[in-house]
Amino acid sequence: MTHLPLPDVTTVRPFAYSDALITRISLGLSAYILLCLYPAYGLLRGWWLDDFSTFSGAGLMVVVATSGAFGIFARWTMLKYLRIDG
Amino acid sequence: MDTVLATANDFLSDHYVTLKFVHMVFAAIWAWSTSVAYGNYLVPLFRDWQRAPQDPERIRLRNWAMERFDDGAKLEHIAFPLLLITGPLLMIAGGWTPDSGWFAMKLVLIVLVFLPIEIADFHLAHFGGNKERLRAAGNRIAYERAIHTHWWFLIITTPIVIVSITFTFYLAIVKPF
Repeated sequence: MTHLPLPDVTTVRPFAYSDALITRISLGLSAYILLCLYPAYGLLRGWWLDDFSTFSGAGLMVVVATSGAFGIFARWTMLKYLRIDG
Repeated sequence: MDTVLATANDFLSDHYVTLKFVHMVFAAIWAWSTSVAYGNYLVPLFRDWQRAPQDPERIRLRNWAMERFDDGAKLEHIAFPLLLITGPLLMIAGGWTPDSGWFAMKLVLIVLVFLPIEIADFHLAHFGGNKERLRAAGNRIAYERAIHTHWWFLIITTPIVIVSITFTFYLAIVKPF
């Protein structure tokens, strides 16, 4: 399979996205860190060690900063790959 | 259960470094075997197609790159299940538990980030989303849908894998907490 036959262009559609959609996806990824990964880590440590210090104020600040920074990075990266001249 | 684990630990701990070597080899294959194809073939060809979405030659190149990428992911998808085997063996051999923060975090990343991504990736590259098979079946609409779905998957997972794979290597090697 080195040279594919010419495609049927009638079924081909442009790849559609918008900056607003990418922003929503980035927010979703940040929320996943905040609402899934962080609680899962804290609960695992709590269950195993009976130590719930992950949920302290300092821990919460770290995860909010991390998830926020990741959301910004994710948005920038996705747009970089999506924009034709990005 | 404790006796079984202790016996397994006795046996495996003699082979800890060898197991670690095997695990690291598969981790490297899993992490980076598709990166050159993605960054240097798929992304440029996909961008080029986006400039003129109805140009047959660009569509053909886009499709070719996507189908080759499905095939190229085989190495990654052989390495991942082997990581899921060697990982728990290393855990037993090293006596690692969630007492160690790095290990607990690695477990969370494997279960809640890598496993869902890899399940979706297996599906897109080798099962229902395999482009070559859809083309052979003559299902043009499903083929185009699969291309778009796979591209969304790659776009969304790019920032995730850049950060989480690097971070996982850091956790496993540096063991910072």
